[in-house]
Amino acid sequence: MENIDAIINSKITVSVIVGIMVKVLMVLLLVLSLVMVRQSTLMNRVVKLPVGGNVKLLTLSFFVLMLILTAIVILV
Amino acid sequence: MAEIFNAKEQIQEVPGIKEMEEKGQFRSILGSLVVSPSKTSFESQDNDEKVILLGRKHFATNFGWIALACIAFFVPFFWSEFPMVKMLTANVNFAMTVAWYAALIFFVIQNFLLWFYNVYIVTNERLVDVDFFGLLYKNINVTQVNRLVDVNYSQKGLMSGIFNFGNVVVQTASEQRSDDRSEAAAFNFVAVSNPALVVKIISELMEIVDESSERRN
Repeated sequence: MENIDAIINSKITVSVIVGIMVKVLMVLLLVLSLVMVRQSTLMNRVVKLPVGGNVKLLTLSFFVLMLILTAIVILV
Repeated sequence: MAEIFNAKEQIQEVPGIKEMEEKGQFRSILGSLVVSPSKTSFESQDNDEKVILLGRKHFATNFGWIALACIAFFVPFFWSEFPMVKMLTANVNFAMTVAWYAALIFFVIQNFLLWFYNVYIVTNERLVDVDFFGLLYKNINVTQVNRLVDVNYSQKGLMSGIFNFGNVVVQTASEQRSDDRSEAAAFNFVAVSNPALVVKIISELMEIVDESSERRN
């Protein structure tokens, strides 16, 4: 009952709306970064280049970074 | 079955390639044009097939998105001047900045990937055009060198004149149509670095194939 009262009495401010939008954006970017990791692997399979491994590592690093940043943004 | 041409023996005979190999020109794997790239292969490559030319769009074609990324980098420095952003709490402001830079890094990596892997490959047997559109669609065109009919190039605009890049169009005997409807021909190498050189090498390869076919006839 107290929770429902808290929800009813809560104020929707610009900060709350923007905060939710940013969190959704971060999750979306996290999914896209995962797609990018998969795609770079497939690209490297189609055309195998000497630095292809490094490019794959770059996308994987970005995914890990996104994972950490998403966790931070959601918890903030 | 009659052998049309022997790919193994013709690779050594392409004079343009031999000349550049001797001079050590176009050897960087990150370059727009790479002659006889080492440790490079593609999905449907035969065992005796050798990549003699690997090319991608000229680096100057990336200037647009690089400039955009540079401008976008400085945007968070100024957005606190806007009254709407001033109203936000410090936590939300921080989250917004993090999301902005994450999106920016994603944009840069994605554009780099598309530039890096959108390549055309000339081997001693075939021509391969690999096109990736976005992250989820790829279009790969392959043709035999002995099926090539005509090769030409065009250079349009100030940038292509300054940086020496242009479009190379290769006509095939089969009038092969690409799945990508935006391309008039299946083998349309866009913004190729040193187009005259690329046309010269493909022409030499075509001549060699024609000569070896005539010899067999």
